[in-house]
Amino acid sequence: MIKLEIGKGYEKEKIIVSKNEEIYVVGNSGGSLDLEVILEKEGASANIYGIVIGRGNDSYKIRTTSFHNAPNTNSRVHLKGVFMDSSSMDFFGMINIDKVAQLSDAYLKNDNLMIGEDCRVNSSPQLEIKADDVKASHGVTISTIDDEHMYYLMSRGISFSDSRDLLIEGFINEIKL
Amino acid sequence: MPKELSNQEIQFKNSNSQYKEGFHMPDSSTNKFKMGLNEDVVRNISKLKNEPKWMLDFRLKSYGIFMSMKMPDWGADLSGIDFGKIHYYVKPSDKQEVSWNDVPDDVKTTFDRLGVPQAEREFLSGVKAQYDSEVVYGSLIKEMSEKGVIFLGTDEALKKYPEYFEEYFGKIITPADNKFAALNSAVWSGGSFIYIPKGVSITKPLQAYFRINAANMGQFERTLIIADEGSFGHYVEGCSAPVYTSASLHSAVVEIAVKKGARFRYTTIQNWYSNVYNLVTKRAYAYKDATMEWIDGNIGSKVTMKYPSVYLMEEGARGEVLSLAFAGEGQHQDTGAKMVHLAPNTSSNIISKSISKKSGRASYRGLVKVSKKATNVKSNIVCDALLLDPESRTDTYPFMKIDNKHVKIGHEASVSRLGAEQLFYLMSRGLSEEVASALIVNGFIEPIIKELPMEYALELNRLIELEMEGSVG
Repeated sequence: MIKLEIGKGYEKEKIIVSKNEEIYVVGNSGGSLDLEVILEKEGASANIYGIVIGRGNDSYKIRTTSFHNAPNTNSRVHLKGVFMDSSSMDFFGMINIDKVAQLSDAYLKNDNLMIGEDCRVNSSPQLEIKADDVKASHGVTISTIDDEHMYYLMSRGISFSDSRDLLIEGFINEIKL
Repeated sequence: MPKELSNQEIQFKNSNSQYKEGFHMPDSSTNKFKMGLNEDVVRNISKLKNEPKWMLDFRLKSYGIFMSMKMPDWGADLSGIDFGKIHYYVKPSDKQEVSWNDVPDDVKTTFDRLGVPQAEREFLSGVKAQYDSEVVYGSLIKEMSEKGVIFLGTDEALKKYPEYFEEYFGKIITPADNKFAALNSAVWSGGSFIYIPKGVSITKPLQAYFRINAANMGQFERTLIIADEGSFGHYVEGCSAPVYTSASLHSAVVEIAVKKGARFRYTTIQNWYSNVYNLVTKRAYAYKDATMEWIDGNIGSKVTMKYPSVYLMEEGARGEVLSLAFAGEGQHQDTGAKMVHLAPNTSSNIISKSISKKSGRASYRGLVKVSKKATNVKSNIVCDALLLDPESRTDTYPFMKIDNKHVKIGHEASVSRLGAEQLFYLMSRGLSEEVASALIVNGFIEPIIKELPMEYALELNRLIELEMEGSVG
């Protein structure tokens, strides 16, 4: 297991995976990270989980690239962001499947919860697929807290800010650190 | 009759016998500019068309912008374009006709073989046919012209209705937008102008057919469409070109204004021969409660770079793009969509389907932008790519730039190949592998095909089937 804390000297990381690896990315005060994960041996797999929280003027610049350079390799990227105040993030997430990497399976997901009135998110999930017998997909969601969820909690006597915190917690807890 | 083909051309033709639009007529143009581009070419086009001075100034300014801009450093490989080896203006005949009988024979034969007059009789409200640089034929059924609908070649419309041009021409897509928009603005010729008056609905589509006949041709049509308040219209364009070994360039600009409460649908079925660079800028402004829909089918060409866009200018506007790309051997389809949300309560939807075969490469490139003041925006993007064999390639390059928190943005993309289980299921019921594959592909593109008028749906299905021939086994 590898843990990377954004803003703590991990600006550029290249991780070569020959068996399997779990990588956790955490961001709590902005910063940048350029993470390259290279699946080099047949059957290798990598799971990358990330949670970033922005407050005040925090800004994140995050780039992940999953290189599938061998057959039958597997990658998962799941990045969740919560943005308060005027925090922001630029995210670029590439899945690159080489011609030789048949039977590979790649997935990338980026979910963003927009809380602050002036928060801002740029998200760019990307696929470059040169082999045909593969599974590759990605998804992005960008939204704010659902009014109906807030209503449900508040109608049960929970205060506005507690309800909000509960929903944010629920959003983050999907990823187990 | 077609002139005799050189050996090289015949060989070329035989190897591409599926492309039924690959014939060409002898070049009987009445005015063909020498290859190459300079300021005199721009001046001569304007002079020949007897244009007002502001248009010449616009062209010259655009030429300057074109010369100063670099080629795009992203997207497809455009190194095969030699701007010095293109005819920038080829005039097929001296005037636009209103009866097919008056159209020069070779031009008429071309459009007959492409089925344009027949389609006009059967299911269209009006037709424009452009051959090389000029519109050679135009018609509009009487009930539409009585309601005040205007459907003209852009050159003719500029003379008759300059007021619309001052308001919109070059305003929705400025010459500085990109290098090819600048090129088009400098040397544009032909294209369609449509005005639909307030509250008028055009029930049957209007169609334009763009045909390149001359070799080394650059076709730069310019289309301007204004759908006035509460109106509805549907415009369909088709494109094809003969089989030549040298490259041609098609670089159009299409500007559309969809006013309050109006709805406009623009359908393209692009089937250029695989020597054509197709680099097109298309953009619509959708105003209050207006809806703009692009249906973009890209089958042919060597390289296509085209991202129809909708700028959602006022509250309640809605944009939709359905994009279909088929990248066969040696082709690169770099297509997608752009949605720019500039007002609250706007929504957009993008569905992109691509198929790559042999060395073909299909790339989706898209943008969804939500500005700071655009609150309560909903946008949904779905991209599916199908790979038919190990040589093919697909890419997805979406960009989401979201500056407002009250949004619901969803994007998903997936890549797959023809499923072995799906094939097995169909083949175990007695279908050949080829038929089974074609059936799966048809199912894959169905969400887009079903949005087309019946005749075009059949045509597109036929084209896909031709492309699929020999793709398995």
